[in-house]
Amino acid sequence: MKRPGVYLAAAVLVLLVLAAVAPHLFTAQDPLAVDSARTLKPPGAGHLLGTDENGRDVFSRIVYGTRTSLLLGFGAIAIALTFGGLLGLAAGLGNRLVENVIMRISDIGLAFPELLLALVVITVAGGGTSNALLAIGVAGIPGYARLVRAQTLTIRGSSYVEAAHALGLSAPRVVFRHVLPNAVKPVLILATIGVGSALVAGSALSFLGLGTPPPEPEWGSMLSTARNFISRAWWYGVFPGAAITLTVISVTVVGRALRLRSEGKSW
Amino acid sequence: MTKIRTAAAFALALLLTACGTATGAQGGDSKTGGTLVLGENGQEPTCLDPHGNASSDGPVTTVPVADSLVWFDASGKVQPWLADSWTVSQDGLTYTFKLHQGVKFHDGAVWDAEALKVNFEHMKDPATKSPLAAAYIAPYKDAKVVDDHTLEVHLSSAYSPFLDILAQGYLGMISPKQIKEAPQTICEHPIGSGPFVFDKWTKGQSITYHRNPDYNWGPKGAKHTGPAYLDKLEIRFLTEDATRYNALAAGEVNAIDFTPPQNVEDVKANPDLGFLSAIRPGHPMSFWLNTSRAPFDDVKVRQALLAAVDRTSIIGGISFGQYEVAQGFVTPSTPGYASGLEGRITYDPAKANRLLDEAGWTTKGADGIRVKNGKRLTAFFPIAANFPAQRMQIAVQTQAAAKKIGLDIQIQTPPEQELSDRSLKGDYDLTSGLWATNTADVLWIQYSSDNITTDQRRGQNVARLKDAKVDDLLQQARESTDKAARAELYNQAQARLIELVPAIPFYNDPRPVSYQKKVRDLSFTPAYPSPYFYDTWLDE
Repeated sequence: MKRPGVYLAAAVLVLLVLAAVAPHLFTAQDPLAVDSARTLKPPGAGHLLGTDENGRDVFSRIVYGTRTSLLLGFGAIAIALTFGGLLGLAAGLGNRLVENVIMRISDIGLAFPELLLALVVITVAGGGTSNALLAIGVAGIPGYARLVRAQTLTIRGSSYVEAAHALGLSAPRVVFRHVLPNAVKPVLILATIGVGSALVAGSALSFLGLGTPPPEPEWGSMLSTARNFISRAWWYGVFPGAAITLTVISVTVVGRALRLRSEGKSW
Repeated sequence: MTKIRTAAAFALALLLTACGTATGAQGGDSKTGGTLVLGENGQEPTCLDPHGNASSDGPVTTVPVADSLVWFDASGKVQPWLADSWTVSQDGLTYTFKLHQGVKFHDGAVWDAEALKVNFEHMKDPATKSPLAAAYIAPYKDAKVVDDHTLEVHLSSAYSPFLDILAQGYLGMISPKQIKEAPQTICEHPIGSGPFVFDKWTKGQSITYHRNPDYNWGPKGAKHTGPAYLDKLEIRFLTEDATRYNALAAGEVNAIDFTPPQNVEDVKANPDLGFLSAIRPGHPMSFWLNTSRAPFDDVKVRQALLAAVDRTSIIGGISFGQYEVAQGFVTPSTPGYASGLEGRITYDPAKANRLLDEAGWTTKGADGIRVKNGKRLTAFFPIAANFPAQRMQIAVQTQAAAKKIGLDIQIQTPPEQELSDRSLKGDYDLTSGLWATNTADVLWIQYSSDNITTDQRRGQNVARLKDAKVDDLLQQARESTDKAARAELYNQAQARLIELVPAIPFYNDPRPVSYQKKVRDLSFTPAYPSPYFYDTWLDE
């Protein structure tokens, strides 16, 4: 155990995934249960992390919000990776024209900050959790396309691919058996780090009122509402904010460790 | 239909909750000079022509520039301003105004009978696209210039609120020269006769004004005569509640409008800050129920929802004890408010359940929602994406209360276009808003069956209430020239509405202003409780 931090981060991730899958294991409270008589009550008995402006339990809203927040983070990266990966592969293996078309388009995409691109998608498609997920995913495609293409070009010229060709394997087999897995592996590890920023982007969209609609709990929208009550109810903003921070740090630490390991370095 | 419906207003009993003194030292020691910066909320008008806007920030931005024909004093009496006197004919159809002489607009145009006539015509002109002023003077037919300073105005039907309405900032007077020669410029650069001259409007940011040195025709209710004290005035738009409050706390602005309720205690506890608030007259902030279709076409279902909602607890919570719960369908600061009806609306979940049983919604599904003939008891509540935070709290808590009695309120956020289509077609079960105006005629605006939106006409009866008795009472009150008879008619209408429950009235909307203590004699125009700077000066 050289780096206990990595294990701690991994443990946090396991807990988060568990909370996303089975939130009822963590709290018996209904995240949507309104209590007009107990609004903005500080942390204490009955409400571990206090209540929000509608008397709802902040702890249970954070727990139940995990699913949406993780979905936004991991889901968006899955979209970016899948489509970015395929495009990158096509660019790396295709002829000059295909490569140029794909890469110039992705250059245009890269010229815009990811969040801005996501906002464009939201403007066209409308708000909501699934659209936010789509928007962040689409915004991530150009970056991954470029990464995968670079990997593909390297592998394409490698001796084992040449050997596969020499052995007379069919082109599709070479691509899907040898090129793709090797090109994607390092990118996959990088993507774990991307999950953190996608999660922050998702929260940012909800914060702007463009992501998850109320009353469904989501960390970003909780933070957004809480800022109006910051002088009266610190707990309302601090805990969802802490949840976002902790998750992003954990994902990043684990992702970094995986990357170092894949490069043969020690953590 | 989630527009922030804040029209015009006036306060009969301007409920001044002065904490510290808004009206500190007076008279002799008032100092001339300085710039006052007011932090305003995000209801920035899209047009600064008083006749062309309906924003709740309309009057605060236009009253510095444009004077009105009459002034309302705090006791609810009509006082002279740009008109010295007036007479009303026996049948209520003819108003003769004697105008104040010596008034000049900022572009040099002279205030006379022709100028007043041009203004009325500008309000009515379809090209002005007046959302409010035109409706408020709808019975205006034509006018005759009797002499330079006498105008005879003819109405098509008796209209008792006419004089009261004329005091509102939305009916401020614009230079006749500008109206005739360059009407398209009024929205961007209004020219009036007011104590401040319009300088510049940077959209989304601020509006600036400077003192009119020639001003000598302040309203009767003002504390002084002659020009205003402030050299300059700046209204800065700070949409975010937290940003606005912090700007005041940090000293970046001298005063803020619409103090967030969560900060009112902080303001009151701060020895350097003062606080001033008035209840806006008109219709309280409410959720209207669509009475033209199921389930709210059944009065028992409406009564049930009203009884199911613990308004005292909800309003106390969302306003940190700052808002008062509405007791009916006009606020107490409205002339014509029927006192004696308080306490008729009570929180009684048992009664709510009983009423729904009586209405035939007797069985409950597995999810606790009532069912009748295979139909679930649901109500559709479409809201805009930028729904105000406090209203959202009320919506969410009302939804929870309704669920307890087996009514499923579905809050949805459709795209803007769909939202407005639905509101025009009446395709909703709940819609929210308020209507601020200085007469009980607000009931006619909201509940007369004449004001149900049709293909021909857009009206404000969003509850789509069609009740012969209400129609009759409100029409009679509108045409009555006898004050006592009118009051009685409004009383009856209000009692009837409490039985009919066309809306869940929530709170009497205040206009809370906070300011640095060095800001002296900041007041409200009683015709519409929004900050008025004619008497204001800086003690520095």
